Amino acid sequence: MEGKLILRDIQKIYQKGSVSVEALKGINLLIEKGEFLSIMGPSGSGKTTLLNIIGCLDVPTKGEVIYDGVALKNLKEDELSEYRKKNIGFIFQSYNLIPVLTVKENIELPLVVEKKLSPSEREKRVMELIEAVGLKGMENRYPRELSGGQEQRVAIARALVKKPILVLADEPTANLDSVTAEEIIEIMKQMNEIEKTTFIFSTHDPRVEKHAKRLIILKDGQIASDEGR
Amino acid sequence: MLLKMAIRNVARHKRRTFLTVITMAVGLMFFIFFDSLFVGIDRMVVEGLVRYSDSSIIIYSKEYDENKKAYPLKKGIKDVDRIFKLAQSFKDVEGVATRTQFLGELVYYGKSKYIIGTVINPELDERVFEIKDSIKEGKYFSDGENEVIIGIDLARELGITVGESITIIAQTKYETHNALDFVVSGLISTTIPSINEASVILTYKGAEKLLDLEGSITSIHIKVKWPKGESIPAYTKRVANIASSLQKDLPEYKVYNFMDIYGEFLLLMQQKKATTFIITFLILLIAAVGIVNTILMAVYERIKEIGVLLAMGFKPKEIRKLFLLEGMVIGVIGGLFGVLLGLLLDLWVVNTGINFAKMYSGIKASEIGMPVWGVIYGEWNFGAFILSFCFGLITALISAYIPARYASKLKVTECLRFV
Repeated sequence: MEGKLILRDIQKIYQKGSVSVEALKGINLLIEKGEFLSIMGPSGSGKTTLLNIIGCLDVPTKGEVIYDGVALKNLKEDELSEYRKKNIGFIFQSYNLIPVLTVKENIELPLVVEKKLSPSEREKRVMELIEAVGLKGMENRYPRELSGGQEQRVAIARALVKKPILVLADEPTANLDSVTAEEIIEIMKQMNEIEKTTFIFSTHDPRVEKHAKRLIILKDGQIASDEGR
Repeated sequence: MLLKMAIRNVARHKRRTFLTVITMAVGLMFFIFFDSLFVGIDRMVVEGLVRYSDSSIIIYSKEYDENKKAYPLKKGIKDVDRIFKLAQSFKDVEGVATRTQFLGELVYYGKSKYIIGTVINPELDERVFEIKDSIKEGKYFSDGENEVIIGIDLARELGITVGESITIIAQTKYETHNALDFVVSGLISTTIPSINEASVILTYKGAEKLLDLEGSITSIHIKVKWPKGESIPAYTKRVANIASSLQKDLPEYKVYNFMDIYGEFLLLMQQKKATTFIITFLILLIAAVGIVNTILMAVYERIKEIGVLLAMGFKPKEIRKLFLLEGMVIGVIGGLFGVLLGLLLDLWVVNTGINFAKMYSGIKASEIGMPVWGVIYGEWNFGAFILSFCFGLITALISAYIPARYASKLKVTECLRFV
């Protein structure tokens, strides 16, 4: 039961002046814990909107998101942010590391915000992840001293450091060359296996798609296909 | 971690931070410097009053006091001996002197100028006032018979040099006009512009013929010891105690302490201080706009970063705190820098001073409204350092609050749209 995610009839309408755009048109999904799931689709198909709603960054116009039996629409903004802090990690297309923090500090930041672990426990967890993503020896470097692939490894470690139930990755390989992209997906896969974390990533990169254990294709805000592998 | 981020973010844009910090520092330096100068001027005014014109305590007869501005020679002090004895009974009293002042006109080769004459007893006066030490050219009185000492600016204005004869026209005690020639034996230069510009000092011996004084003394001046380093408030307190005790014993006289007289200058100085405050405020306002701009630019530049932090679970108030901390870091650096610059400027103005007389040569102090003249020294005022640092910090925090609040109101999805 833990880590189960249900999306029920999700609809999202954006109001742009007098024009309303329906980004998602009634999405129904059941995602089990530990899935390695890819959402594909052309630009404007609603991938990012769907990820934002799953990630509690945005609320649906209609329908509901249920995590472990808790309906998120009943949560207030602060509670939602608290929920996000505890349960969800994010990986972005352009890595978005904090430029003034070192590799180690970037990974540690979510734990500092959470204030749950002692400094020595934090150190242990951070070093564990640095090793797991293959960045040992680079912990004191700043993002500007890293390659794109290395930055994304840091972002993965940062997303995983709190041991979230779910990691959302929006086009995680879009800015990387093929070899690096493969490496990154491989690391995400390993983490999915080691930490038993659910990974949901959006992509329109066919090199990446083949690694997914489940593939959902979105088209015009609707699920065009949903297949397990 | 937040503080670390704030410090590194501020350090990241060195040029922008530098410009903001320097504007702020200049404003604070300005404040510290002028505060030092004004406190210094305050002290010089007080010291000048005590040293040259009024001494620590002045006693007039009540009738004279009521009509002081007309210098009524008839309303002199009757119980001079009794007052002398009374004053000398205080162990802190260093000296007691008699003086008589009158209004007159100095005439020199067709040129003339209104003057304030001061009649002194050189022997007694030396124990109370520092006229003798302030003779710039010539010498102090020798026999005093027909000698005068005049203010250096008065001499310059009329072209009088030491040893020359001048004529003084004045009203006698019986209100008839009289004129008498005197020889200028010395020129006096003090920190008090009115003495330098309009003062003629003569002895009772010389004044007797000019004013028909018949020994009339219009004021008694008491000098209370002022050890070096004693603050003005501490000295004022001691002097005021003696003055009020004397007043009790002399109900028929009016006893003033130097602070009663200083009150007139105070108003003028307060106006100048208010001007400094306004200028400092304006400079800090420029710095504040700089800080608002710096932090707002930081918010726009790092909108993605804000999105990431929000996604990570940062609360809006933590985002606000992050930018406020950046404002605080700028405030602390600007404040420290301002205090340092102020300290350096104070070191100079306290030790070397500013020679106003040289800087404005050819101009009289009264023309530019200066209450003191010559080399003006600043005074250390550590309160001003603390005040300016706090002032800078508060300005920075208030300025940072506007963009910080804006940053904290951003929606996470809006920020991530920039991703």
